[in-house]
Amino acid sequence: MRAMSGPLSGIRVVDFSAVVSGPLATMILADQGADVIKVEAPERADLLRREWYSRGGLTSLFANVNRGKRSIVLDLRTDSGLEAAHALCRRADVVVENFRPGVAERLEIGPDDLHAINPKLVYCRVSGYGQTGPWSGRRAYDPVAQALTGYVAIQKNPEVPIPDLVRNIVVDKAASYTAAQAITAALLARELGRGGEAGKGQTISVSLLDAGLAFFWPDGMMKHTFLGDGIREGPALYDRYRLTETQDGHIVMWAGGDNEWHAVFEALDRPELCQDERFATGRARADHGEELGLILYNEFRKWTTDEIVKRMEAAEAPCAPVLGLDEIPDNPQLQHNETIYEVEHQSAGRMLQCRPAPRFSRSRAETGAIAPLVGEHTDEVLAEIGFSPEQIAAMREQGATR
Amino acid sequence: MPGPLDGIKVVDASAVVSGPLCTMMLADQGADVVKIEPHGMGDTLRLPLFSRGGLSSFFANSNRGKRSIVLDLSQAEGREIVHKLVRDADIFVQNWRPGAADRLGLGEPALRAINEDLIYCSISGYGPTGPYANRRVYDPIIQGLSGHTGVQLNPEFPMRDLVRNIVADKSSSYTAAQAITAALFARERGAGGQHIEVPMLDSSLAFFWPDGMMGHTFHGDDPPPGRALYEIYRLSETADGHLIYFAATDSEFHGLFRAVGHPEWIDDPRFATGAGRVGESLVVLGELMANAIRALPTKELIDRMVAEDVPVGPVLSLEELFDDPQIAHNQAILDFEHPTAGPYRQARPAARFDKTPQDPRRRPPPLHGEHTDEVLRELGYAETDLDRMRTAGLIPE
Repeated sequence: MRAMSGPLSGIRVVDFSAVVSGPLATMILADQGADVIKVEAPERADLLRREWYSRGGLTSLFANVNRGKRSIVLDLRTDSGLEAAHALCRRADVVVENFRPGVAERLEIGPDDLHAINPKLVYCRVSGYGQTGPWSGRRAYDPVAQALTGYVAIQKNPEVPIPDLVRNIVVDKAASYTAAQAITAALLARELGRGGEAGKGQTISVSLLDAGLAFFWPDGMMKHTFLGDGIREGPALYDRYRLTETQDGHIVMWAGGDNEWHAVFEALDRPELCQDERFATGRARADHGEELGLILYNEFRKWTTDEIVKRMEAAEAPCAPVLGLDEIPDNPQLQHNETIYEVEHQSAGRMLQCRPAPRFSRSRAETGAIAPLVGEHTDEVLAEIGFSPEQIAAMREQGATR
Repeated sequence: MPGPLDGIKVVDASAVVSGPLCTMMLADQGADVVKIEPHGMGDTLRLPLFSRGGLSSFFANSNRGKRSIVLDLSQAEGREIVHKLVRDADIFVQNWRPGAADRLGLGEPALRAINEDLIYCSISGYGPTGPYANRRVYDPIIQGLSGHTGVQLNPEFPMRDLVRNIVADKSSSYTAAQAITAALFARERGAGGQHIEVPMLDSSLAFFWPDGMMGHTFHGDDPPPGRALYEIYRLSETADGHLIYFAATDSEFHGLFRAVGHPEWIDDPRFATGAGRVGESLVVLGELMANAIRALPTKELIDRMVAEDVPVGPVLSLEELFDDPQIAHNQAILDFEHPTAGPYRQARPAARFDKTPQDPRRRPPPLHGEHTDEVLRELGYAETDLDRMRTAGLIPE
C-alpha cells in the first residue's frame, strides 16, 4: 500500500486553458494530487488575472480556479516557446485547452500534433459551442450559454415574473466538472486498456453548450422529456421553488412526504392540521393547494426567522435560513466539516478557500496549496525538462518567456 | 467501442437525485449499475409527475442505463443478497442519512469485510457527523446555506429567489462521479479500495465558491475592492424582448460599441479601457448602453454583435432549445423510445470521447424492479428460490 497521496498523484497535466471552464477542471485534478503546469502567454496572461479583488499579483477569482498549479510563461509563437511546450507535453498524461476551435491547431498544439509526439496523452478540449457548427467560431461566456440552455428561461419567480439569470457561473462550472470526470475516466480507461491498446490516450471534447444543457436537463426539462400523448402532468420543480417569508426575512423550506408535512404543521404550532383531511395525502394537498398555501403564508409570517428555524429543526422539518455570504463561514456545520480554511500567500496575504468536497479515506486531497503568480515556476519547470540556465536566459532574450 | 468504465460494476442503493445522477454518469460511460429500490413506489423520483407507462420523466433523466432490483432490506436475506452483489462489485453508492447504512448492515466496514477493494461512496446532506448531520435535506435547503440563494437577487429589482434548478444536488452528483472515478484510477495504481464521503453542503459550497465567493476570498486588514460577477450579471432589454451579452476585454467592449451604433465611444477615455470603465463612467455607460439596446430589436442586435465578435445570445425558451441550430448540429438532444413510456428525449452526455464513447442508449431507464429476477439469477438463485422470496415478500410478486 502506498503512503497517503492524492488519487491522481503522479499524473502530469499541461494546461493551456484560461478563464474558468478549463482551469477549474484542472484545479480539481490538482486538488487530487496531479502536477498541473499552467502555460500562460507573455503578453496576454489569463484574463482572470485582471480586474477585481486583486492583491499582491493575484485576483480572488483566479486564485479560486488555479489552486495548486505551477505557472510557466511561454510564447507559443516562438520556436523555443513551442519546443518547450512540446517537451512538457511529451512527458505529460493530460493536456487541456479551451481556445476557440482551430487555434490549438494553428499553434501546433492540437490533438494530432501532440498525439504524434505522445500517443498516451488524454487530450481534453473545452469549447463554447462545439468544435464545429454554426456557432462554433463565436465567443462564449457563461451568461450567454445560460440563455441558450434553459437556465434563464425558467429563472423567474411565478409570483413576480421578472426574468433573471442564475447569478453564478453554473454553465462554466458544469463544463469544468464534466471535463474533470471525463479526463479521470479516460485515464482509467488508458490504465485498463479500454478503447484500444493499453496505454493509448484519446481526445475528449466538451462544450459549454452541451455540458450546460446536460446539467440543466434532469429537473429543468422534466416537462419536455416525454413526447406525444397520455402523459400524466404535474408541476415542474422550478414552478414550485419559492422562498418562504417570515416576520423579518426569509427561510427555505421543502416538505416531501406526509411525515415532513406533519413536522411543518407541528413547527408552526398548528398540530390540528395533521388530522385535517384536506392535507392528509399528497393528492389531497395538491387538490387543496391554495388553501394550504394561504395557511403557510400567514403562519410563517407570525414567526421570526430565528424562531421558526429552531422550531422546524426541532420538529425535523427540512428547512434552512438564507445565509448571506458573510454568514457562511460562521455556519456551525461548515465549521464542523472544516470546509473553509485559511491560507496565507506570500504577496496576496490571507485568503479563504473552500476545501474540495470529496473526502477520500485512503487518498489525501491537497489543502494549503495556493494559485501561482504569473510565471512563478517558469525557471523551475524549464529546468525539469532539461533546459539549462543559459537556454532559459536566451528564451527570455527572445521573448519566448519572461 | 466500449465506454471508459466498461466492465466496472456498481451497486447503487441511493435514491432521489444526488446518488442516482452520479451513477447515471457512470452508466453512460459503460458501467453496469444495479439499482436497489424498496417495495411500494420505489425511488421517490418515481412520483407520477410527467409520467407515462410506469416511468416519470425526472426518474428517467437520472436513471438511464441502470438495472432495477426491488428488495426488502428489512429482511436478513435481502441484506444477504446485497452482500452477494457487493462481493463482485467495484463500487457501492448510498445516500441514506448518516448511520442508516450501518443499521442495515450495509455500512462501509461491513461491506469492506466482504470486498476489500470496494470503492464505497457515501453522499450525505451535511456530512457524516456534526450539528446538522441528522437533518433532512433537499436541494433548496442546501442552496440556502451555500450562497446560491444569498446572491440570487437582481440589483435592479431586489427580490430574493432560489436558483430554479437543483444545482446543489447536481453539483454533488458530478463531484461524487469524478471522485469515484479518481478512486478507481488510484486503486488501479495500487491505492486499494477506500471510502469517499461527499457531503452535499460541502459540494454545493465548493461549486458556488470560485465566482460566488470572489468578494469573500481575500481577507485581512486590507481587503481589495471589486465587484462580484453576481452583481454585474444582467439581461438586456431590447425593443422586442431580451438578450444576454457579456463583454470582458477592451476589444469586446469596442465591438459592442460598434454593434450598437456608437463607435465614437471607443475614443471616449471614460469607456475605452477597463481602467476608465469604473465608478461614475460605468454608471453613465450603463445608461447609454441600455438606451442603445432598447432602441433595436433582438435579432438585429444579435446579428450585429456576432459580426463584431461580441459574446451574445438570445434567451431561448425551453421549447426553442429543440430548434437551436448549434444544439441540433451537436446532436446534443437525443430521441429515445421506451417500451412502455413511449417516445422521450434527453440531453446527450456532454463529454465526447473519441476512443471510448459514452452510450446513453445501452439500456433504457428501468421500470420499478424490472431486473429483479435477472439479477438474482445472475447471482445463482434458482427459480424455487425466487418463488420462496416472492412468497416471503422479499421481492415483488
